[in-house]
Amino acid sequence: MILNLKAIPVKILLPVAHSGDIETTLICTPFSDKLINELSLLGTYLMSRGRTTSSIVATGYWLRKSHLLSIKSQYPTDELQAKGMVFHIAPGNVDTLFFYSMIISVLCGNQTLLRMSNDLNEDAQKLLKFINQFLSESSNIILLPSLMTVIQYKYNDQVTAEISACSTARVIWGSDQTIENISKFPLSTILQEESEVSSNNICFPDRYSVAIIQLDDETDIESASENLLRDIKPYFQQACSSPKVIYWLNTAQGLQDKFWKRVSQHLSAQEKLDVADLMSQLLFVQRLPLLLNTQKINKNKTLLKKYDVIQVVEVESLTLDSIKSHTGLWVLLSKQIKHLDEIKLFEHCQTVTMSGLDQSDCLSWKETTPQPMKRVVPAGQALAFSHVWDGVDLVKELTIKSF
Amino acid sequence: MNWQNLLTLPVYDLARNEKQSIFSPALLTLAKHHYQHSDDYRAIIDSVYPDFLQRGEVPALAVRLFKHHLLKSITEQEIFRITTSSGTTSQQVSQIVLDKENAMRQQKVLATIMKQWLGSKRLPMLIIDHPNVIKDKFSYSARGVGIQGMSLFGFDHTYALNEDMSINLDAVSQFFDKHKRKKILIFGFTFIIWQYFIQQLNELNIHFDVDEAVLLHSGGWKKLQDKAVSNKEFKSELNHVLSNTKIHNFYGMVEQTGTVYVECEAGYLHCPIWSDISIRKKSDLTEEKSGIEGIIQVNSLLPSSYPGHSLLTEDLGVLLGEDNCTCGRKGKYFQVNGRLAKAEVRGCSDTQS
Repeated sequence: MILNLKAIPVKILLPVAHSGDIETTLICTPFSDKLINELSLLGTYLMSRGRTTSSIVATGYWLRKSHLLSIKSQYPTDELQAKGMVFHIAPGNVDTLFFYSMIISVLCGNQTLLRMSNDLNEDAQKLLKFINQFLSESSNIILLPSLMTVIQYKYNDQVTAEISACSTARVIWGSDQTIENISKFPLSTILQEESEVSSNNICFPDRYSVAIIQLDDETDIESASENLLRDIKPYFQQACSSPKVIYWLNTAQGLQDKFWKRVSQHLSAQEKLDVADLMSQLLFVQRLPLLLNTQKINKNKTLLKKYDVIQVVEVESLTLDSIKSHTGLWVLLSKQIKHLDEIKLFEHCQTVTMSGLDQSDCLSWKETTPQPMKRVVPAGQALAFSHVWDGVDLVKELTIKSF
Repeated sequence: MNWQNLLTLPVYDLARNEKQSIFSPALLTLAKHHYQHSDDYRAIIDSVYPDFLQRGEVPALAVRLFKHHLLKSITEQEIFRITTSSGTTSQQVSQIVLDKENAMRQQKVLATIMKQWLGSKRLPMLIIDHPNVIKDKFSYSARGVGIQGMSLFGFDHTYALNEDMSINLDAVSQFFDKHKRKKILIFGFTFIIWQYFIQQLNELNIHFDVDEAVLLHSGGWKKLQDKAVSNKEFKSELNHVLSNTKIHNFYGMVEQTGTVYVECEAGYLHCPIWSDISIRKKSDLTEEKSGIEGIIQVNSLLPSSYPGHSLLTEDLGVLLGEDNCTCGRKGKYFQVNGRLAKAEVRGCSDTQS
């Protein structure tokens, strides 16, 4: 089946030399040598071209051959088939996350069509530009341009419906509202090897993340602050995986104070908030006492500590509203705990990062806690993308096991 | 606070020291009043500005707070009216809780300020809008409130536009004929006057000979930011279609209804005695020097039923001076340059943009 993009109001961003037609049944063998080869060449290109942009270097690094092969080794790839055409609706603004969603899909051999948000930030634009350059400069790259297409369109139910009807799977990143809106458009069911392949939605709803930090003395501060910075600096702390709450495990106030000074010093040297963001940050800081003091939890004492661009709000307990209304921008909710069991996470918690904790305590908490987090990673790695994301195995979801 | 005394103060006559000796202590008293009577305000102060009031400092609340929370310093039973702003950039609207006293004081102060510009007699009034804008209860929004508020200063209220925003030439011509050689009042919103009055008359090549008129306009350009013209061009084009018309822009907001900032003959907005502005730096929101563009903060003594006495707006402006405007009025004078570009939305959860 052919999906003619020229017949619907969409703008094609990648590849630049797109014919406008997508052959929806054109797929290739998952993790084929040729695919891995082309993707790793793209990775090398991105690492050298993107040098000055850390998020682009990270995408290139992720594509190194050894990494792709290690993912491959985790699956019985001989038994896997591509799913067909996969329609991705990328997250609004986490600059380069769209890339991973698309690459995993291509790696699985799928015909991949990605819809990006209409306001692309600088990093995303750069990344697209580099991929386009790579595709047009390299004559030996054949699979990638035939398997991946990036488009933009002003939100339009008819377009979404039309593309969905040609797709066998859909990856939706977004709020519950977005997911609900998009899920109502039916996907196609196709026959493959004479058996019906069930179509599926793979959804990544809004999530939040937390960090647990323990500092014993001043020597712990430097690395702990660098790790937190790595997790909150990108995307203005607005990625779902960036911690918004810090649980301080038995850490002296004086050390915390020095820690925050260090974090803010580093951050201020590298990043600035523009005036609109400063206003949003102020608004959220002023809203917090109201969001934290619902009728149920009265007299929740909160106190703001300002560390230049970083705003630390000390809280006694958290409310769902205070998390849901969080707009990133380097506001951190800080809670003191004496024991890991005091941590109460909300249902939509994604990542817990850990820093300075006793290894065995960590392990036993991880194994025994009923708390609903999706992953626990060392501090500094909150944003490292994995093909198993939010507990969803993307490779498994984007392939069919053939018998 | 002794409002009886405050209301007798001259609107534009007190110089800095005199004004501050009255205004600053009154604002602090008001802040303490809200601290006592509004649980939410107290929670914000205790959490974000714990020692400010003791130090004699009054922090400004982000004006968008009123879009998220119903802040009030009165009991449910005392609520007389809740006014809302029109949501131009989002569906969320500001909700301002008024008791009878606060609502009446807003009217009184607005009237006192307007008298300075219109004289004390009611004037025949032409409204550059369509009559249904105030009839629809659901859109009882800033536009409707503004028109109703201003209507008090006029009589023979005539609407210049039809519901489809085309000009009602019959009504307008009749109005000007009927009130020939009388001073008249014209009121409307800036972008509506520009798009539906000036431009339509220009296209039709019609102009009216007016003997004496005062045109007040407000509201800026809203969604028509790309069509915005300078104040100078606005005035010259307007004078092209209406002769002998004095034009005054004014700046105000539903969150501080009453204390409006009217543009003088020299083209600058003036603070009345009951309110004051300061400009905040774009880099860190601390106080900005005069002459440099920043975020406008508005302080007003009027809000007693809701803690809206000190607000950080989302408007950009420049403080131009104090007590030394060529028009002779005392107090700070400034200009408004427009709205802050909407904060960029980032994060995982906005895929529909």
